[in-house]
Amino acid sequence: MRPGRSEPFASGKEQPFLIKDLRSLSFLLVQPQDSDGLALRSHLERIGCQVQEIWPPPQTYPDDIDIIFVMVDRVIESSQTFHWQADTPSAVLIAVIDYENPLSIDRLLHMRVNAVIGLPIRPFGILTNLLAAVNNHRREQRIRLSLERAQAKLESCRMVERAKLAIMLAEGHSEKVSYAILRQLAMTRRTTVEAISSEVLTRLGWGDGGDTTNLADLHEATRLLTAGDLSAAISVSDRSA
Amino acid sequence: MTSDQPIHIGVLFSKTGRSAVTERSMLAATEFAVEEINAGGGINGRMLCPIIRDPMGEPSAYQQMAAELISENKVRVILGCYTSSQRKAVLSVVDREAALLCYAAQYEGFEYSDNIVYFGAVPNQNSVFLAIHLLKNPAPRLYIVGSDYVWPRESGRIMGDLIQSGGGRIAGETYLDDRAGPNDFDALLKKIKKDNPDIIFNNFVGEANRKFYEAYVENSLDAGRMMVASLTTSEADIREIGASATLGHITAASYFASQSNNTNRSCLARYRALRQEEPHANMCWDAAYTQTHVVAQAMRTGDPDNLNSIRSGILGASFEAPQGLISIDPLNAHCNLWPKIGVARADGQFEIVAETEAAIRPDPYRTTYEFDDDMGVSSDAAAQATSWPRISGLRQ
Repeated sequence: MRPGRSEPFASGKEQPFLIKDLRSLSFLLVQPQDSDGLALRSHLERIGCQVQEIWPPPQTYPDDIDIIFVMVDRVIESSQTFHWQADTPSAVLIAVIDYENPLSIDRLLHMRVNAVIGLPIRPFGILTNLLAAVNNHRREQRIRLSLERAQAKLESCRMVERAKLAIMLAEGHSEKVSYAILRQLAMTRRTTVEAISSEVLTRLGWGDGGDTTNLADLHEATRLLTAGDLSAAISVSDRSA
Repeated sequence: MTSDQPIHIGVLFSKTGRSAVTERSMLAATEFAVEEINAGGGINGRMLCPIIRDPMGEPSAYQQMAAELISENKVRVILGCYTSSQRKAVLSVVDREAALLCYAAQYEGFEYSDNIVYFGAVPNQNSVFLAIHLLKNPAPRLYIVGSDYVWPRESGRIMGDLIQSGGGRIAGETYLDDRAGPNDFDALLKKIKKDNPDIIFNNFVGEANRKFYEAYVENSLDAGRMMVASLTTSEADIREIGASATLGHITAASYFASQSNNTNRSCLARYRALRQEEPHANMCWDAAYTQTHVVAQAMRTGDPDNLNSIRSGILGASFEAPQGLISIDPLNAHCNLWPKIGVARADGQFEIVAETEAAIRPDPYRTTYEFDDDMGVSSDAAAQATSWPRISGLRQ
C-alpha cells in the first residue's frame, strides 16, 4: 500500500467500492425537469457519471440501474407515487429533500433511503455521500446474502436431524449408524444427504406439523424405503465404527 | 447606481510569504490586464477599479480579506489565491456571500462551486502530457517528492499510476513536512542519489522548491545525471532558484513565456511598453492575465453589477490568451488549455519541445489515470469525452 494518511483508517477486510469505479455505475434521477433537477444532473455529469432522468416515477426499475436519486417532496407535491421495494431494493436509493420535519423523516426511514441530500443542491459533499451510500448498500447486500445462505443451511441441518431421528426410532440404530445409512443412500442414488433426508421425511409423512406416525408404521415405511440398500449401509457403518 | 461609477473588483495576491514569487507575478499580470481594459474604454465606459489586498500567504487572511471585500467594498468578483488551502478558505466566503472567485493556479481537481471559475490546469491536462513525455524514455524509474499536503500527494498518486501503466517504475516517494529545513532536503537528496532513479518528479512549490534545488546542486546532481520533472517550476521560480540549477530540467505547463505565437509576443511587448519593466511571465501570469480579461468581457456583455450575469457571461466564453485560444467549459467551470513541455534554458526561459495540437478539455473529477497499449489514455466513457490529441513533433 502506498504510504499515506489514509492508512490509520484502513480496515483491511473488504475492498471498498472505490472512487475509481464510480464511472462504471448507471444513475437514474426520478425528478421533474426544473432548476434543482438540472443542478443535480449537471453535478453528476461533472463527476463523470452516466445519468438518465425519468418523470413521473415509474412502477418498477430496470436491474441495470445502480443508483436512484428521488426528489421526494416533488413526488408528493405532484400527487405521484414512488413505488419502491424497501425490503429487496434493486439499487442504492438517495433521497433529495426540501423538508426535514418529523413526518417527512418518518417517510424517508420507511423508504430505507441509503443517503439524503438537501435542496438547494450544493455540489460539495455529493461525491463522498454517494460513495459512502454505495459502500453501505453493498455491505448490506453481502450481509443479506450470507444470512440467506446461513438460514438455508440451518434448514437443511434440521431436515437431516429429523430424518436421522426417524431412522433411529424405527430401526433402533445409534445416531451415528442412522446418519451413515442416510449417507450411504445418498451415495448410492448420487444425491445429497439433504435430498435423501427430505425424501425420507416425505415418504414417512413427517412434514412440519404432520401427525405423529405410529412406530410400527414407521418401521415398515423405513424398511420399504431403504430395502436393498440398508444392509449394505449398515455393514459399511459397522466396519467404519 | 449611475452608469459612470467605477466597477470594483477584489484582488487577493500575496507580496510576501512562501509563494510570493509567483503571486507577485499574478498581481502584475492582473494590474496589467486592468490597465489594458481601462485603456480600451473600461466596461462600456465605466472604469474597472481593482481593490488590492495582501494576505501575506496566510489562508485565514485570504478568508477575512475576501469577506471584507465583499461586505464593505461590495465587490462581486475576486481575482486571487494560489494554493489550495487559500482557495478553500475563500470558497467558504464566496459560497455564503454570493460572490465569484477567479482562480488562476493549477490544482489537483475534485472541486466545483457555482462561485468559482478555474483558469489553471487540472491533472488530466498537464500530468498526462508530462507522463507521455517521460515515457519516451524506456521504462523510466521515477522518484516522487513534494511537500506533505493535498496537491503534491494527489499529483504524485496520478503520476505514479500513469508511469506504472506505461511500463515505468516508481523508485520511491517522499513528502516532507512544511517546516522541513535545509538538512531535511539534504538528507532527501542523499537518499535519492543513493537510489539513483532516472527522473525525480518534483512537486515542491515556492520556498520549498528553492530549498529542493539548493540541496540538489549541493549533492552535485545535474540534468545529465538525474533529470527533474515538474508541473509547477515556472520562469518565476527559476528567477529565485537560479537558472544554472534548473538547466536542462523539464516542466509541463499550459504556458511558457518563450512561446513564439503572435498573441504572446505582442502581449509581452505591450507589457514592457505599458509598465516599463520586464514581465516575469509564467503559467500563473498567463492565467491571471486571461481571467481578468474574461471577467471584463463578461461584464461588458451583461450587467456588470449582477453576479449571475457575470458568471453566465464567463461560462462558455473564449479568449485569445497568450497560451492559445482558451475557453471555459460551461459544465465544470474549468478551462480548455494547451499543455506544453519546456526544457529550462541557461537564460531561465524554456525551450518548448512538445505541445498539443488542440486545447485539452478539463476533467477535474477524473479518477483513473492509466495508458492503454497504444499509449492513448484508457478508453472509459469519460476519457473518451476528453480525447487526447496527438503530440506534435519535437521542435528543436
